[in-house]
Amino acid sequence: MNAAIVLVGAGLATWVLRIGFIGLIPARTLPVRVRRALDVTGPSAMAALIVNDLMHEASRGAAVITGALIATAVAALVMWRFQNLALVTIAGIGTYWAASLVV
Amino acid sequence: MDSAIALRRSQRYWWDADALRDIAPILVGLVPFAMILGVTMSDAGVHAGVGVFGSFVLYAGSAQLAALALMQSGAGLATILLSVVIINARMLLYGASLEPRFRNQPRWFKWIGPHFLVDQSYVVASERAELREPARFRRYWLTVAGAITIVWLTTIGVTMALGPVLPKDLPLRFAPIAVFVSLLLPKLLNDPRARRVALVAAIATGAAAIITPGAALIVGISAGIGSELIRKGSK
Repeated sequence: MNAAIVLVGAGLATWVLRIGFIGLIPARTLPVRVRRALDVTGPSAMAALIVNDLMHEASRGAAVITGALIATAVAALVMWRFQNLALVTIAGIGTYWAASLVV
Repeated sequence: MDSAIALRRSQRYWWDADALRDIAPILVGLVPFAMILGVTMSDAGVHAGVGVFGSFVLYAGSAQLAALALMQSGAGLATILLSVVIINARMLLYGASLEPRFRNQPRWFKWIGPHFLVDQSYVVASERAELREPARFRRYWLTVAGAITIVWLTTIGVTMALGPVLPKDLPLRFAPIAVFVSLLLPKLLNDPRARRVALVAAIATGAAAIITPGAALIVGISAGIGSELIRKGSK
């Protein structure tokens, strides 16, 4: 099958999902209870993204996930202590890299 | 007063400095992912021009990887599109969550802006309460979208034309986790509701990643939102 057709078709389908509750059926028309529950989309998404990424790491082997879990803990600790995104990113990547050499 | 000064300062340029600061660490993590996508498309015999154009049109890396894998295995268009819809179904929830920010925008932005809705842009934009002002949100959103698009398409294009320019196993792949941890942690420390939904979302994502990896994110996010819906309903 032609890759261009597949990618354009997939792009159109995804665009419909993206504008679904913005342009097609605006979320303000949803019941109040549902709209209030949508307030927690952020923390739900972030927790899901972290676990999903860690599960990908787990699929690469025990050593990789061990390193990733240590780096995640270090990132959380640095965030708690310093509240600095750049520092968290550097500490997390550094720990992940160091763990890949040691574990 | 401080916010008024910040607003005036941000209006001096067409781009938004806060947006660049927020998205920069995430861009670092996008590079290895874009390289993997570029290599996959080259291996599948996709022309570099088609690859870059298709990556812009779809603008969703995980779904693109799945679509390419299915295409190579001989799956039909309907099967491929169904898989893409399942993987990207979370965009529907992201859109619903950001709808108030798109509500009072010009028509062109309402229809084109959401094209750039991805995990990364959603996470950074949803964290900034001051983006309620339409012009400010528009500038923030377009800056984030522009930065992601430049890094994403350039890396894919260069990888397809020249091959991987960096080792594929760079530790940069950890950058998105570090960013998500730094955004989530303050919520976990200060908001019991966030703690509850994050726990539900994490457990559901972990379980779904084992059973049905392609749908893990939508299952996890829906479980988190669903738990809040059930709790509110029972009160």
